[in-house]
Amino acid sequence: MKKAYRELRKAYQEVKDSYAEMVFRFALVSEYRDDDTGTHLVRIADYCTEIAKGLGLPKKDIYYIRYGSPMHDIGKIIVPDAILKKAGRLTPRERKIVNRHTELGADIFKGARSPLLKAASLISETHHERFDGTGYPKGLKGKKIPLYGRIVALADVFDALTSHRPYKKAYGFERAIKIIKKESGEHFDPDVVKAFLKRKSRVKKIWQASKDIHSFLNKKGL
Amino acid sequence: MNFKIKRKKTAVVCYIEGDVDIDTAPALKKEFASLIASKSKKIILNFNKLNFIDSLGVATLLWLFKNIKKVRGEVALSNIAPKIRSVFSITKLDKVFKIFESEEEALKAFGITIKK
Repeated sequence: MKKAYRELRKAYQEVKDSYAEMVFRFALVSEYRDDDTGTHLVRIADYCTEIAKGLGLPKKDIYYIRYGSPMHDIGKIIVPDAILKKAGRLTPRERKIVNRHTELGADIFKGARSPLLKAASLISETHHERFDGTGYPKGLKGKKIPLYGRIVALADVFDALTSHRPYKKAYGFERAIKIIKKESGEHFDPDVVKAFLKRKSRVKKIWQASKDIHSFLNKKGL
Repeated sequence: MNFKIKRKKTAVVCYIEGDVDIDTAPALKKEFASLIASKSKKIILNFNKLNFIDSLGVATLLWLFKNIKKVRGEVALSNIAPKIRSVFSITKLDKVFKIFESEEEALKAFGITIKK
């Protein structure tokens, strides 16, 4: 009996592990399209993990947010290259199409039974909602936005601020922190901002490590 | 994280188990630094029991790569557990490091054969 239980546990762990692996690989598809590196995905997962821990969430939530967060932009695989990679400003119509990546991502996982894929669907759909209700796709307000979405929203913006983009240089750590603070209650949930700031020294370590990885890969031409 | 080493002829095999993350990466970096200080030039990291790795873990591996090169040493990875492979490929570690299926193959690449 004990042995059977052990084997069952092992099998369950293997299924769980392969879901987690699949999630990272699948998420990478959207990154390839966006000309970003996969380090962005690990970073997002790391930032989200810190916020979730700062909020004191249970272990299982930390797990779902960690492995669900890299999927946030998966819906971008359905947005045409001509729009996604356009160098200039997007027209209102093009903007609308890009914004649809949230719902498209949610559609990909619609009806999934795995809690991890459900989390991924939720994150995809809600990571561009804003706490003040001016986000998309639904314009949800405050705590009506699922917590996972509120967490990824902050991590994603912080990462965008501290990353190089064709139209802007990477902001320094403190400058990005300042912007996050300023957006508390507007773009972001104040509780999520608080949790993020509580873990600031750890966030900085992740930021630094990621910068090191990035410059190493750059030098290698990877 | 658990860190053990075994010397195999001129190589050092490191068995890194558990989580290499924001909390344990500094300890791993210390282990790597003392290996370099002890003039080890051929290092194999066996990741058979690595459970988890984050950005800080990845950065630590790259730190070893850079610093072993400086002393003209080499590092190879082996036995990467399937659940970790995706992180290795998305962070392109698989393009930086020489990766082998088994420890024996890694040793062989270093010109070392162990008789059983």
